[in-house]
Order: sequence, then C-alpha cells, then structure tokens
Amino acid sequence: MPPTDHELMHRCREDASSFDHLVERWQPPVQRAIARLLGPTADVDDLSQEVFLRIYGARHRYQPRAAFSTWLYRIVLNVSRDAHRRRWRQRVPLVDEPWVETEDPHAAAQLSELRSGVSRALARLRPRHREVIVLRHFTDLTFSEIAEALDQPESTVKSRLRVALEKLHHELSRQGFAPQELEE
Amino acid sequence: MNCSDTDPLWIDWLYGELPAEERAALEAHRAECSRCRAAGRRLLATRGALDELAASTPRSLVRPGPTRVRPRRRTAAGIAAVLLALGGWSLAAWLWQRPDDALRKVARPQATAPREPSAAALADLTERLQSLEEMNQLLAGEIERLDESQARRDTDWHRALAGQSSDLSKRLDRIDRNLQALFQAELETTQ
Repeated sequence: MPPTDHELMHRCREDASSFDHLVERWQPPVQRAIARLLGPTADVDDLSQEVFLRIYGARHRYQPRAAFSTWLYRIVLNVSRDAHRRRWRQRVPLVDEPWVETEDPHAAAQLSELRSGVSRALARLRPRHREVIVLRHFTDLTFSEIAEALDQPESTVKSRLRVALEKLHHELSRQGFAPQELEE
Repeated sequence: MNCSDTDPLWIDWLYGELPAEERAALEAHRAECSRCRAAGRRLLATRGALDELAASTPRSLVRPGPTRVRPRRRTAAGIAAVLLALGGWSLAAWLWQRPDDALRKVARPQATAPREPSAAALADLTERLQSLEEMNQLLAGEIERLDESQARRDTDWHRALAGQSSDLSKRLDRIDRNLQALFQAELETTQ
C-alpha cells in the first residue's frame, strides 16, 4: 500500500526521496490548477516549483490537521495570487485547447471551439470567481475542503460559485457561445 | 417556496448534493416559475461546458520534463538585491567562523546540544552551495555585460560630444569670418 501524503510529509523531514514521491504524485494536479488559474504560461513550471519549495520549507511545521490536498491547494492559491499581483496589468493568456480526436471532424472542430471559448471566458473572470470554479472543477476537493482552502465558510463558497457560474455563462454568451442546455 | 428561498439551494442542486425533500420542493417551484427554470438551465449548461473542458484538460498543461531553475536576465535593481543578500550571507558566514567567542555568541543562537549534520542535510547544503556558485557566475557574467555596455555607451557619448564640439568650432569660425568680412565692407563704405 503506497504511503499517504501525511506519511510522506512526515518522512521528508529526514529523507529527501520521500519529498520526490510527493512531488511526483502532486505535480500534475498542481500544474493543472495553476494553468487554469493563471493560464499555461511558461511560469507554470516555475510557479509549481515555488509551491513545492514552500511545502519543503514548511515540512517541519506541517501538522496533519486536515486533508493534505487542502493545505496544498491553499499554497497553490497563495502562489497564484502572488503571481497575479506581480503581473496584474497583464491579461491572463489564453489556453490553447488540445484538438479533439473524433471520427467527425465538424463535431471535433465545434467541441474544440467550445473548449477554447470556455477557457477564454474563465480567464476573463475575476480571480475570486475563477478560483472557486477551478477548485470545484479542476481539483478533487469537496465543498468543505474548498472552504478550508479559501478560508471562507462553506455557504460563502457556494454563493460565490453560483455568482461565478452565472458570470461565466454571461461571458460565454457575450462571446457568441450559447452552451447547449443539458437534459435534466 | 418562493424565488428568494431557492438562492441557497442552487449549488447543491446543481452538483446533486441536495437532500431529496428540498430537491422535490425546488423542482416543484421550478415547474411553476419560468425565471427559476431558466436559472437552472443556465447553471446546468455552464456546468456541462466546464465538465467538457475539465475532461479535455491534460493531466499536465505544460511540457513534460524535469523541473529546473532557469537563469534570467537581471535588472540592475535585481542584481543589487541579490548582491546585498549574498553580502549578508557572507557576513553571517564570516561571523560564524570567527574564533571570537563574543561574536559567535551574537551570531549563533544558544544551541541545546551539538548535532552532527545528516547526509541529507549535507547533500542539501552542497546543492545550495552549487546553486549559489551558479548564481555567482551568472551575476559575474551579467555585471561584465553591464560594464561592457556602459563602456560602449560612454565611448559613443564621448564620440558624439567630440563631433558636436567640432561642428560648433567650425560654425564659430564661419561666423567669425563673416563678421570680419562685414566689418571690412563697412570700413570700405565709410572711407
């Protein structure tokens, strides 16, 4: 059975290879979250490195009070906010969405266009709204964990997410995308 | 249930976390209220679009490869800050190694017991030292580049000044010659 995150954090106080396991395990989701929060600029590499440096620096102070992921994403948010402040005049770059491989090229083109549109709309939201959407849709955190990561009550997180989704829908409509209404 | 009662329920409804009783009440209200029906459809559609994007998002959005520290061009302020930090670090190291007990007491906190550094700590220190050396080399290169650039600018500036000075001298000579000619002409006229 693989060691838990808490165990790895505890071990990496003495053994650097445990930290390597932790990085290996968490680097892809961390990069994914940062890329969605800030856009997949070259900084994604450096910022995820900064996240893990902060974690390594805090290894002696780490207390497994809550889920490791909650603590990790709180650091991701802090690093992303710092980066956002550093380049606050710049627009969040757009994400080049991967091409979709399907048998129908027309459907593939439509799908890719929609994904790029959603990505663009997401990038245009205010950081607080983007954060709550990214934490809900691009990580495995529950509402209570998101609340803890954001240091907000769960009810605030939910009402913020509602506003964020409405704004995202508005942005999508403004760009000429009307997301297909799903069957209920 | 009226429209304002639905506000705190939408997100749980959207993500399937609403208890059955409240869900039934909300659905009953939606059946009667076109505004809330539209709100629900908007939320579902937006969630669907996000799910689509999340499903297509690669595990990592950046190119694969080992993480690395990339050298960057430093501005003069950045260099100054790093040099100050290195200076502070060197001073601390110097204080630490001085045999003077009084200074050592100032620089080193009261240790509870002497400890042998572990192999991991030594490796960590070695790596940091290598990073510092690399940083030092980068800085030395950067300072050299700045010096060269400054020297080039100085040379260009002097050359431009010398050129301007020469132009001015020539113009003064011409003015002087013109004045002399005018003066001569004036003299001839009066005579």
